[in-house]
Amino acid sequence: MEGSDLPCSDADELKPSHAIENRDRISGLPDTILHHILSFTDTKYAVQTSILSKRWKHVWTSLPYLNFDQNLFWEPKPVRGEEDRRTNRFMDFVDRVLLFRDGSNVLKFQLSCGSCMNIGRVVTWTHILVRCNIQELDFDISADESVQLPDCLFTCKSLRVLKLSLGSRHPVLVIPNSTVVLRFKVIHIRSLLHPMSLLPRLKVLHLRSLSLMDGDLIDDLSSKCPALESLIITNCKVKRLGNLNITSLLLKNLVIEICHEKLYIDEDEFEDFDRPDKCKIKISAPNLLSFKCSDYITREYYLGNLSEIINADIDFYLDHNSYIDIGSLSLRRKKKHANCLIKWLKGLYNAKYLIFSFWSLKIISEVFDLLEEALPAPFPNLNYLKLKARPCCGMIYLLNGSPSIETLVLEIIEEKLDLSVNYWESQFQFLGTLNHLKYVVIWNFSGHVHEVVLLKFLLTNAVVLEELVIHPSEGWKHDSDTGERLLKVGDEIKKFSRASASSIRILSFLGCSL
Amino acid sequence: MASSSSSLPSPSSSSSKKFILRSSDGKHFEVDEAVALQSEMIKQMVEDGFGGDVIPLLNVSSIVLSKVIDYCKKHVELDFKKKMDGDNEAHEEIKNWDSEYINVGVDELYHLIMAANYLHIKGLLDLTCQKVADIIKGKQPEQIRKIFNIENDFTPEEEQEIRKEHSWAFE
Repeated sequence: MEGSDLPCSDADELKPSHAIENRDRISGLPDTILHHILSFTDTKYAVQTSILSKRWKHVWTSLPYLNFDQNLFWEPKPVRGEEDRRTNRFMDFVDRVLLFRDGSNVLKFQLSCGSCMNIGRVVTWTHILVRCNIQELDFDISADESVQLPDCLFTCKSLRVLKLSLGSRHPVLVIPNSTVVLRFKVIHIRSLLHPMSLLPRLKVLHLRSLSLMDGDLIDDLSSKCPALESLIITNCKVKRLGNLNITSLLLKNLVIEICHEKLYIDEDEFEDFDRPDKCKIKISAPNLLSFKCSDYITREYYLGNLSEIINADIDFYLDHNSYIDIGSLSLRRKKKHANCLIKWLKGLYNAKYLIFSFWSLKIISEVFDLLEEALPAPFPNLNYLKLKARPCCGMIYLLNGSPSIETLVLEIIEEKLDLSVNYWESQFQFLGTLNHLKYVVIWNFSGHVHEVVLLKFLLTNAVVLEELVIHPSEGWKHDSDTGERLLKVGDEIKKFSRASASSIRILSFLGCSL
Repeated sequence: MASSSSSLPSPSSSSSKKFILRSSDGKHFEVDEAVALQSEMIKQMVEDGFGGDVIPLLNVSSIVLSKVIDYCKKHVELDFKKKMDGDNEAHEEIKNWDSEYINVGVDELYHLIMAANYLHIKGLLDLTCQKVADIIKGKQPEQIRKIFNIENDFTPEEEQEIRKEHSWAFE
């Protein structure tokens, strides 16, 4: 290691700054820190430091972190076939960086390339990286129909993080058949603890923009990736899958975001409304702590033992037709939605922190009577509830069903309301005392009467409320009506009776004090 | 969102355990346990039984140490806030505070890097290294040399040679 590990003497440090201004400090840093610095830049800039001085000439050749972004290879004049030339220059650059390395390990390799590239080159790089004991691999590429990466990647013993994003065409990731053969070799050679494991150290698997299919990585996770703690599936299609089984003992964090595909449904024809495929998703992860899901409400989920779950963020959606007119769905369909929701709410029974999206809450509101009947108190342990919503009956159901709730966050979504004020007010007679609610935060408050009614009831029902924070919608800045309304509402809120014995801190940003 | 920062209960109470840190120039700093333990190095020292007394930090001067303590204090506070307010809001506040904090000259930056490395404070090391990286990004070698006072010890011929060898990276 060149350079000194020790900082300069104290006397030196305490001198007035102008005396030391002209010293070259950075070149004296040890290689490990220079590498750390360069890990935050694109490798192109890192290689360019070779020209700074002799100290810097070879620093880049042992960089453990490599970041390649095609965007840094632009062509000044757009010409025909520019994309190809640009991609080729980019690929040549990656080739050279790998070729001129000094043989040290690569800890992290990140590749981002928007245009279609030669997968053959990616395969070559993968071979090299596996030999360099790669720990974290992140490919963000754009491929056609299918991508086949080499065997060695899927049996890589050093790999801890694997992120694959395959582009807008959602290609299939083909796991080579020979891996299966290799797998049997593994049985003989490796320990018997996890005889079938392919990626024994993999902790994070992130699959983005691809089509999942039978026999790929997530199939049989517990044996293929026994150390997996975080599985993130985003913007993926499951059309080609019969079932998606996620079984894992150590899994702590799970994200499932299934691609939202536009579809139109004729109710007479479809038994499974609201989803374009038949794939069922089964989750069995007894140590799961955090679960984020975005999918069609009617997808069949089997939520196994999720007794440890703490955080959940749920975003359901519907088919295209139903968005237009969710209020007039047939009873058959509502029942179906209610059944799906009941399954979910039961699965998330132990959650402490919950977030429901706008559409999730809308669906809950549409069938809240059915839910109340089946599950009057779905969340006995819930501490924190965040709702992205307009005022709706689902809110009251969730508040009533969460007797331990301490923090409520509402992010109000502006939308035309067809809920009559009288009906909305009448719903609050069903709201019980909120015995533990201490903090309420409201975002995007615009002072509409529904919101004011909600505030009034929160103030009268929350007996230990300590703090209410109101963030007004940005609207008041542009529109004087909203500004005036907010001021008036501010006065109104001041007069509401309050159940809490302690003085409530009300912080509002309405431009007036409450 | 700096809005509700005053309203939250403080994470540190007067009853919490204190540590005394001694800088290389002999000055003493009393800090809360949570603040001191932001440093993996101090954590290790405490585990090894150094916690009762004064903790000597041989490689950090008082000027730098007080700046490092500012960072640790703020991050203890913000970590606590994150638990209360949810990630997004706290994240924004951390980002704003950090970018204000790291707006320093290259010399101070160097001392902070050395201190963060010695004390094993990952967040601070990342922040400082990221700052240097941001300075380097997209600049001509001459500009970088000037900012960091790097002496170009290549002869013009040598420099020309390297430029030629690495032409694929300078296009």
